[in-house]
Amino acid sequence: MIDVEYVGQNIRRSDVINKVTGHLEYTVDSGGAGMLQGRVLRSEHAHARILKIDVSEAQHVPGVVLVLTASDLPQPVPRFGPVVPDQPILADQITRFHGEPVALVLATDGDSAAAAVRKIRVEYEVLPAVCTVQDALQPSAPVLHPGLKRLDGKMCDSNVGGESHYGWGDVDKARGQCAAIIDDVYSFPLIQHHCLEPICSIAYPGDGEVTIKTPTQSPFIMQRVLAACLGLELAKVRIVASDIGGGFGGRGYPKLEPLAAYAALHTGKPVKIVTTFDDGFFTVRRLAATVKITTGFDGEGKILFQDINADFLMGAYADAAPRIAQKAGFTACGPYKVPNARVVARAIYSNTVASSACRGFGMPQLGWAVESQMDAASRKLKIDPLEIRLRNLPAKGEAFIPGDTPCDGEWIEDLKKCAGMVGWDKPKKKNVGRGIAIGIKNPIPASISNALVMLHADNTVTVAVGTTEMGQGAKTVFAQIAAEILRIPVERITVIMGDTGIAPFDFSTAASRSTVTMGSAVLAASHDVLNQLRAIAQQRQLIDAEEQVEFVNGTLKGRRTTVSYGDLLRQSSPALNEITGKGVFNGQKDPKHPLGGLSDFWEVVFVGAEVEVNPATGKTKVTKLASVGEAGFAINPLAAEAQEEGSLVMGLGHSLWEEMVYGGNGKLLNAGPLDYRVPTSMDIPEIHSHLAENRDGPGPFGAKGIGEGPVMAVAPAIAGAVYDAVGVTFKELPITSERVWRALNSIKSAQPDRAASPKVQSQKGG
Amino acid sequence: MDSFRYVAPTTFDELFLLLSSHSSEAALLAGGTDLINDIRVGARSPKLVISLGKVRALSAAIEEGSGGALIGALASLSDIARNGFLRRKFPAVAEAANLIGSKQIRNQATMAGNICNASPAADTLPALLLYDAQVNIIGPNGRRSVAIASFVRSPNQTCLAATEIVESIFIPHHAVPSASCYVRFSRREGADLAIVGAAALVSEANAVRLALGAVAPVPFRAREAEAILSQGVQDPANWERGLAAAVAVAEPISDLRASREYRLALIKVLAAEAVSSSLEKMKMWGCS
Amino acid sequence: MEIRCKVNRKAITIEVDCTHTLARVLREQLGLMGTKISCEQGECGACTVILNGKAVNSCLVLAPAVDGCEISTIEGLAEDGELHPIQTAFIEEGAVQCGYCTSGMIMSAKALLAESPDPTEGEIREALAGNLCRCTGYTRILRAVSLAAKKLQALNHAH
Repeated sequence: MIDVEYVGQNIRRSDVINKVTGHLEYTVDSGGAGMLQGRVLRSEHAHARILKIDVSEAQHVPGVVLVLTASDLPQPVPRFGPVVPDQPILADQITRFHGEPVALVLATDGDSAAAAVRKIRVEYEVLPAVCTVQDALQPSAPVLHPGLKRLDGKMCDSNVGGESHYGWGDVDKARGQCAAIIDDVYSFPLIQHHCLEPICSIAYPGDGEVTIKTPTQSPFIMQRVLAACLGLELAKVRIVASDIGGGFGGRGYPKLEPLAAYAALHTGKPVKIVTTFDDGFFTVRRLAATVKITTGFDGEGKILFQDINADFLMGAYADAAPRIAQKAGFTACGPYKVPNARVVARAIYSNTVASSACRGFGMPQLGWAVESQMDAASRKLKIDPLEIRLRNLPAKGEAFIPGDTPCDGEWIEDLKKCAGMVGWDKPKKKNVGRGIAIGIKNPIPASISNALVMLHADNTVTVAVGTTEMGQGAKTVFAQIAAEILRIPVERITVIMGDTGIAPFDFSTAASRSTVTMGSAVLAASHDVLNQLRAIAQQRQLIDAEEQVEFVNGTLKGRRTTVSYGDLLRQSSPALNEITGKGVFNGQKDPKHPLGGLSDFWEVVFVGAEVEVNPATGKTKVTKLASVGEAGFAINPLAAEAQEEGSLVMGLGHSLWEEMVYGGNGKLLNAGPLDYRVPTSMDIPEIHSHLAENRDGPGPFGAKGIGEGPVMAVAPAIAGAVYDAVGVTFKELPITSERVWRALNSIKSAQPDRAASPKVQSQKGG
Repeated sequence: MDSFRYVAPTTFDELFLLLSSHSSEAALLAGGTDLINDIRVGARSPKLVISLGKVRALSAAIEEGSGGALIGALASLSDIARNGFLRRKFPAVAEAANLIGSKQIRNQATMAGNICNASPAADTLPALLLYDAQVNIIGPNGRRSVAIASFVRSPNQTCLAATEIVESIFIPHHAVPSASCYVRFSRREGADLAIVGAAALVSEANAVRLALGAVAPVPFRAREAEAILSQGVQDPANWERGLAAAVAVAEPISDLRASREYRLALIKVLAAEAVSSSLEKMKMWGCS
Repeated sequence: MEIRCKVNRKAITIEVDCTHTLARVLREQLGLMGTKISCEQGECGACTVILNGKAVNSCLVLAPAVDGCEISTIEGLAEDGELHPIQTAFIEEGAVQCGYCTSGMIMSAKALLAESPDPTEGEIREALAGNLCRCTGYTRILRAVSLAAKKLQALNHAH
């Protein structure tokens, strides 16, 4: 066991002081002289031709500087998108989802801009809209993007915007060997990220260049997409990521930034686009999914084959969705050993709001299907749901997805631990049940992170990274890593994040990758600093070439020399103000791999749930939620556990209450917090998150990535628990009280209705 | 928000003068938790907002009297929820107030505002109906009192004339020792709206009163159910028939939050729970 | 119109637009950006401040209505550069992630502890039910409020 001082400790997070005092500046808190306020007019229809936009009244509102619609923009209208540039910065002749930006008003103040938005008159010709996988795939369905080139190079001739095929072994042959074949269809609803911070983006124009201040998780993706959209050189686009008020993947890709950038460059003035919380429902969401799955098992519950057809319902514009379907499809079989598999994963366009990355990146949706199948098999073969999973989990080092990294953790032990945490074998009262499920995903294969570590002449340090802070605590984690290597206290280390003008390239803050990838880059950069210090000492003949030196408390200790880093720098000739260490992490590339590279590690979570169901009302009360996550080594355990807990509750939301509801005409019926219900403090159960730390990850000190976490497995764990409690199963989410009541009553319709009379009868003797 | 003027009269005379001259374009502001949001989304566009908060004659107090409780128009839901007198003597009323919105909402919102907004799902209405509360109204022509059952005409419509306001709500003591309870079914536990609300009152000799909310255009007393249940709740047959009678007069809608059939099924469960809990309370307080 | 009130113990007189909410006045006129705006409809609690001792959603309070009132915001908690025990408790328990809900949470907690210095877990849950958080899952926030209660009680005993 290495002796560590800073890592593995609950070091006080540097990002939280300003948060508890209210001093942290989120994007919307930033102002500036001459800044124009931008407000967006959104489409009222899911699919419509825009016949006419009358901005005459709007233009005359005092304070209004400019009203922009697609016809005012360069033609063809600039489009953007991280995978395919299919989204126009303003709806171009056709609006494809309820809420699509149709016009932008720029004014000297927000009230004028908002008033002007209300005065814009749009004439629409309403077109048929498709909002489900089934509707979008009908031969008669309107095709949203005919002729568009997809991620795989093929042309769109239907609403299939992306398609991936994976497979190994021989599924059809395996069918004949099964003792049980479970065949079903599962659906996962349209879900909101529900970030508390409404999106706000500011663009500052310069001479042929633009700087964007925005809460983005991926400043370099933003830079690339914006530059491509507006025909700018990369060096002319600078992205400065603000601290993010909730990301969860929803801030991973461009949304209103291209529009803000265009408006700023066009007017020559800084432009701040402010949106509301409700606007979030019209900006981004998680992919929904319909998963047709057939799983074959032998008599002992071992999986013999998986045959999966996953149709992910994306929105009207691709955003990251085709990549999500492609990537999740590859890991669709879950954490289990599956000797034969066939997977088709598709991303389907629909007239709904664009779907993007969301915590779990397609795996909560697939896990809902795969884990439900495990429970179905456990019922059919009469094997305990815990036991059937144990029988299918690989051991450490064992391959499970051919061609990719083998199992890299103690998954069997973790699952048992999770079961214990939720009291698996303990006696249960009536209507109480327990369920268990597993979630898995990989980070971004073949990805790159670069870090710079500057050591200053006063023994303080600045770390510059492209990673962004969204509350996960990366800022402090990097300081801890640098401190550990450099032997300088954490308080003397400043971390600058998310500025493409300062930090070198990083892929993004996503996929639970940053501790491993950027952490490794920071580690390497810190070592580079030490190597440079060594070289300086050697050059000044303070130490010999072959001499072993120690780095202790900010000093270099040799046989005859003890000198602080600062002195080494200051006493150089000429004196050095600072030295810069550079570090890079390069993910394992593999051109033969469908995703371009091997998984650096597996993020695996084990979730247990205990519920109590009221059979009269169908209401499910979750009494316990427990998780075990494979952390490898938690650099900041408090920050890591906190994320896992949050992930559990996020999963609770889509398990019991959350669902975006689109009406028959494609309009979103429940935009806003009133009828899109997330858990409150009164809804959470007893929660325990345990981190398995076996120092077996590829990151610094054996770290792996966590944080997307339990959200990938909460729903099937709860569904399993509900079955255990009252004997009903579900193929769709959320498992609302009404759905449970309906399920219970179709089973028990023959029984008399005994409405709670037992309480009254107990009064008989009194 | 669209522009409006704001006035804060200090006397009834000032208030009624304003209402008389501006009634069609004025909105009354007490707690504001409904009004401000309505203005923000454009559901209401008053030209004049008249704050009641500075009218000296309007009270925020909850007065205990020998006749009953007098709740001032400006009494906040949180004050009502924690008031010891109300919790002992009119528990359903305190419980209903405590379930509305969040702490923040309850600290601002008033019961008068809740009944004047007259939402079909208003939580305080079923509880007030149990006690035949009286709404004390005042206008330029003087005062009048209306039974709570007649106060709400239809969804979001009360019997108030354009120049009248609610001055206070009087809840008369129940003639005999009693206990009451308000329960509601909502999607989540924290800060939600009623999908079904049920208020029950039981008194000596097991007379039962039952009021339902969120299952009809206006919350109501289920009179036939009361009559049947009052014949004796210990008899399962009365129980069945009584609950069936309550369901029979309900007209719930199907909406995003719940379907009609589900609401109908919940009525039985909640009504039973409300009555049972009231009986438990009676027993605990030694009233039975 | 002109209003007089106290904000964080300081008496002020300001001209307000009567259609503006308290949240807006705090942020735009008084430069107190610590009060956050999220849903603007009284559902999320991000804008919670303390008005005459009670937690309220400042997005639902009209500016002229605070004439004669006392308002406390997040900025008023730390004194002389020292964090308030509630703030310290939030840090120590790991109850802060993205921070957007934090101001509102802390103000709701402050209002609760002023009324109820030794709250039960149930009372804490109920007091915070109008403050939504998407990051933390609430568990650590509930613990932080309990810890804050203990810290405040210890301080009171010390005096």
